[in-house]
Amino acid sequence: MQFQKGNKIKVFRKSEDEAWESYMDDFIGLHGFVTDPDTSINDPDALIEVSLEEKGTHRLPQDCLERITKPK
Amino acid sequence: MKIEFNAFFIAIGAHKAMDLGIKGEKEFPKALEAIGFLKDVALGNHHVPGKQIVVIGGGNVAIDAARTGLRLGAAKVTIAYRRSRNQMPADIEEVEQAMEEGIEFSFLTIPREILGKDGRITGLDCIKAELVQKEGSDRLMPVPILGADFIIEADVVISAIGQYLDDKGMEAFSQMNWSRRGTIEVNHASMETAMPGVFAAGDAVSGPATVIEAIGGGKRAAEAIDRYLNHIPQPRMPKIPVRHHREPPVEMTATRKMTLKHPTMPMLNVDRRRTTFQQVELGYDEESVRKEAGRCLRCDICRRCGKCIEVCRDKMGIDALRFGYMDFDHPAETDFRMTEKKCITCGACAANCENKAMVLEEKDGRRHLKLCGTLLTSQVIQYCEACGAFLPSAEYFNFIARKTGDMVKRTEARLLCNNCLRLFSAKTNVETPLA
Repeated sequence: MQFQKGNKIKVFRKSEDEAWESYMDDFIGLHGFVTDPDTSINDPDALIEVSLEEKGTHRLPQDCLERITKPK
Repeated sequence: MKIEFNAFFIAIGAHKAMDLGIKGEKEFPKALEAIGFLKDVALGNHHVPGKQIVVIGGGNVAIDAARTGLRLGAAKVTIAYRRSRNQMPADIEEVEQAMEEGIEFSFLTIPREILGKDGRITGLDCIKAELVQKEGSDRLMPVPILGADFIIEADVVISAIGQYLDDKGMEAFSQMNWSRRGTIEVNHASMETAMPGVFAAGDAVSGPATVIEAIGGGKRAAEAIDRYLNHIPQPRMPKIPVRHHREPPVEMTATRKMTLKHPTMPMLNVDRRRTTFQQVELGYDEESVRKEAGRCLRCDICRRCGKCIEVCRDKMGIDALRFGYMDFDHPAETDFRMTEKKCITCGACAANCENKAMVLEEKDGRRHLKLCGTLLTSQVIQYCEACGAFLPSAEYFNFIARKTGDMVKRTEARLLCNNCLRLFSAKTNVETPLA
């Protein structure tokens, strides 16, 4: 999935990437925003910077994130 | 080494340029890499590398290298990027400023070979690409178009396609783990590596990222080293920032909020920009700063959850709030001025606002509805004719009257609170018994 700055996201699962650390398990289910999509855009392997509600800003692998659109 | 030092901190950055992997890359002395080129210029080497420069890449480093080349005196600078402008990772402002200065962009261009003879570059052989959607992915990939090859004339080729960590000289840290991205693996809570007493932060850990993140990582590592030296256990997860103070919002009317324009940044004259290294953006004056601050939507107070809109539209059926910007993915029209036309100051939005971004205030005989300091509507407070109690606004009564129809006919001529209304109705019912 291609993320853009400002996208509202949800950490929907644990990532299989090696960058995933055990404390990040607490982030599953949290909502947040993409603050820095990627230094080389379109790279699905790159970590992207997200700001999670009440949990600060972190660089997370993209496979654990999904974009959320508010229901109309 | 370990006899003298109890802890190590590695912050060596990611300076090594990635190879283009094309023919001629290592053959010519004027085939440069952007980081080295920018470093030399910053250290005082202000010699123009050549007349025609081609920079390969689409990030901020590529733009920096191109603009620097132009300032050094190159006659023509071209940026070759394999995707289109929309996919460029460089900041939009940087791209626009580079275009203003006369830098040419060659999008959808894949370099194939650096051409030249006798150690001198003569051009860059490229092929045109098209963006193709790959199955099962929403990412567009550049695919070369057969036969669409062309040559960009150049005597200098600068590669700016990314950097990675140079691990030369790191052999002593043998127990440290490396990620498959070629960065140092750390526990992000303490920035400690797998080797006890060795800490790392910055681009060496995150890969090329921002200065802010590097500073944050350095701070976390410094605190962790202090804990390590004092034999205090390390935390499980990084510290979460805590808000200590909230700046009160700037009060203004909805009309002012909607008419405030983004102030234009004063810029250095383009001719000077092309020839000097002076600051390009000259900065705002105080009035512009105040205007710009006035446009702030205060996302620290209003989380844009949209509950106020939902309550007003779906529960109350009023639909007075036009805050299209609160929809993240499909922003619609926003007009704070529209609230005044429909709002009845019922307070449902304010009551459902978790962060107190939307507030209903009673002041100077009027009821004000404000969103982060922006006055959305102001209505006159009414009082009970009998006991003087506060009553909702006339707009609210009209709304209720429309909903309840005949039920309030008997008392509509008088302005009464619920208690007085009950007394009045009882009295009327007793005095005029049903036939």
